Amino acid sequence: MHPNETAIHDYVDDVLELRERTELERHLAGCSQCRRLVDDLREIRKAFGGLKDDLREPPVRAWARLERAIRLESESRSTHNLQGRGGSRTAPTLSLRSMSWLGAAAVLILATVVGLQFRAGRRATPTSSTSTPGASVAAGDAAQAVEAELRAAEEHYTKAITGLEQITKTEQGALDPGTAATLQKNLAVIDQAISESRAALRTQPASEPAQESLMESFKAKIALLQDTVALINEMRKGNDAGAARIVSGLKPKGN
Amino acid sequence: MRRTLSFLVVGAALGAVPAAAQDPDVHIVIRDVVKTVTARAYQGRTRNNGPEQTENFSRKVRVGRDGRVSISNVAGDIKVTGGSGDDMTIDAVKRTRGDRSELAAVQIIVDDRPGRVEVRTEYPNNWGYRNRNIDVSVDYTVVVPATATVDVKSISGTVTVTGIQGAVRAESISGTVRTSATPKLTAKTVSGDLELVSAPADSDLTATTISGNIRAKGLKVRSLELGSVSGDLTVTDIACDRLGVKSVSGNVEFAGTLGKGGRYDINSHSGSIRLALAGTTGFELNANSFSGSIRSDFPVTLGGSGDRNDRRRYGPGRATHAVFGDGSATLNIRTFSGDIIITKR
Amino acid sequence: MAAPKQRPPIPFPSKEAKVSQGATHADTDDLVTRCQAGDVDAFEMLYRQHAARIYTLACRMGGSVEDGEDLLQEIFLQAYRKIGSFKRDAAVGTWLYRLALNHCLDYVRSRQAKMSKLTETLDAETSFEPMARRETPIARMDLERALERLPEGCREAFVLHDVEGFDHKEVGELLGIAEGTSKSQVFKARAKLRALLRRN
Repeated sequence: MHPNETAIHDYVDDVLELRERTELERHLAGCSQCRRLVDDLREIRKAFGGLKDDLREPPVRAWARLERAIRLESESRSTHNLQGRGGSRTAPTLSLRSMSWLGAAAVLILATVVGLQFRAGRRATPTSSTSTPGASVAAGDAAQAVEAELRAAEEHYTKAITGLEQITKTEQGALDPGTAATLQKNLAVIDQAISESRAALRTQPASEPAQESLMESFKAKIALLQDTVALINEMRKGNDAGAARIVSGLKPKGN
Repeated sequence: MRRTLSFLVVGAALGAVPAAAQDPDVHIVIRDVVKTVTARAYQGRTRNNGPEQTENFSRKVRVGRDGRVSISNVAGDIKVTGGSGDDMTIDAVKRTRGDRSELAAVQIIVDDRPGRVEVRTEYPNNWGYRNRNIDVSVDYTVVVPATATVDVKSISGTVTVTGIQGAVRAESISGTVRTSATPKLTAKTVSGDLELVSAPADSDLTATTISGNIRAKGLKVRSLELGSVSGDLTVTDIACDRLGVKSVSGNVEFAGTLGKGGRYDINSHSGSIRLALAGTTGFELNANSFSGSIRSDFPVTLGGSGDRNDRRRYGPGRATHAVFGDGSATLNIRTFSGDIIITKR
Repeated sequence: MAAPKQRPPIPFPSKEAKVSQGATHADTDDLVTRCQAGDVDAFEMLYRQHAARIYTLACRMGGSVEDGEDLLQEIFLQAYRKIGSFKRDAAVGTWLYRLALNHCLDYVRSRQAKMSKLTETLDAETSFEPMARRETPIARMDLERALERLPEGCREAFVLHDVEGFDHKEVGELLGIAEGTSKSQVFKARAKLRALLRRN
């Protein structure tokens, strides 16, 4: 009789009590199947244990994006503060937020920004007093990198979507008309969202809300197409092409 | 009354057995299995206008407290309740307004294996080819051990699941899905509505739909994830650590008190997002829209005078960041063109 | 900022996070002070010191490099906002790690991936391939890829236990599950990985 799963894993993790360990080792001496399992588990532990210090460098663009977000935040904080120095572009000082951490009375802090997260265009202006030449070049490059990244992501999404669309188009017959109509209609809703986001990006390529909208819409489209594929598979399972003929005008309950 | 019972070993599952047998120590617990709907569905026409004929079915099966139960149906309601003990009781009623013989042709199959029971409604393969108009529905009332794992699927019927502590997966294409007291839930519809009525404190609930409406009310949960394409989402009086709501064109409404330290992410492309906040919990608000308007009862200034020059200088798009009180809860609200409206309840 | 009510304090990992070479205690202290004063250049230094560690954790917990990158951004932005409240009762790297872990756990619990991973029947060819994978070395890539293919639920427990070095009790506290559940999740992950890696 093989030892149970917990015992084997505990053994590999070196947390078995002496008595159980001896028993298990006795079993291992005579059981090649369990020996193989133990060897495999040990290898897994070793391989993945080493992974912790095997670090991955984040992409170069990551700091640039982060820096923009930070500068935006710190600027907004310094232009609207309780002392009423509103409008002056001083260097970021101790923020009001950290003051409240020091136990100040709860205050209503307003820090409002009307603007974009990526303000690459503005940053590139050489006359801007707060940006150093190095920063504006880096910001400009970074903006381009972001757009390139966006385009690449679009490409990947579009590829996945096209693949899924092919499946759904050829196999749509498997679904009943009511469900197919709902899926089509909602696909159109998502497609509209995609084209609105694209149009927005054409006029304002650096707009973060527009970028996010595009990505979210892509995700929604993929989810919907995956749902459709799953439904088609279900309807066709254990059956042949006749499913659609049989399923006609399925009436939802209560209608 | 004839009862049709048959044991069917599902062909696909047979294929999986040898692999598992080679590796006795590998336990693969299947939580997200896409269940087979092996039934067809039809539309009753005027032909079938006679008196309703019914046939009852009753069965008790041992499934065990950690058992896995799956039920799939085509037309008709499924009601699953958690009970005590190790047994599963299945009561079903077949209905038709057509000929009584059609009831017998529709089979209720109970596939019973150690720790696992599968119940499904099967319609004959050849009905479509004969182009007959058939209208048979089956209503299920099932009681399972409260700690079992439950997987329920219907095409057009209502699915109701109550009081199951194990993982629950409840799906309907066009019917309503209604759940209460199901701490681990994944619920899904295509056009049916979803209603999440109550849940115990450490629940993680997920409900997604394509065009149905989702209503979550009076819940106290750990995390709540809701999604739709065009359906509307309404969340009322819930207490949660983490709320995630997404829609493409559906409108979102949230009314209630924010939890201290809670995180609320609400996202819609063109649907409007309305928050009616009660209580005094402090929050940090990040609201962001490409072309929608942002309105708030809480004092929020949208960048200077809001005049055209300002907008050109700061670039298009509206973003609001505000902190109220101790800022303990986090609200991330984003739309593309939908309006964002935050009011005091 | 108060943590969510049900979240217990994050324990120290059983293996301590490494601080970058050459940074003395006094240097780091000074760096933190400058960060708290809003010095963005100082914050960049902090980022350079700790980003790889955080990014790696985020990729593994999140399950993909894009998730990792998004999480990295959010985590450091949050760190920038909250560094004012850092009390220096631990190393700043540990503070960052805890922040990152908290954030990853939040994300993982609520992830919307449930919407997109709805069908197991989807062919591999039609799935979305993230970009940056080509850049990583093969051997490690096999491990990372296998990790990504673990189902959610057992992946997080496995990453926390077998990779990050928390014990089952700590994993239970972090994920809000029982110690026994942590064990069974980790065992399940190991079994799955065994099957996945065998095929290569």
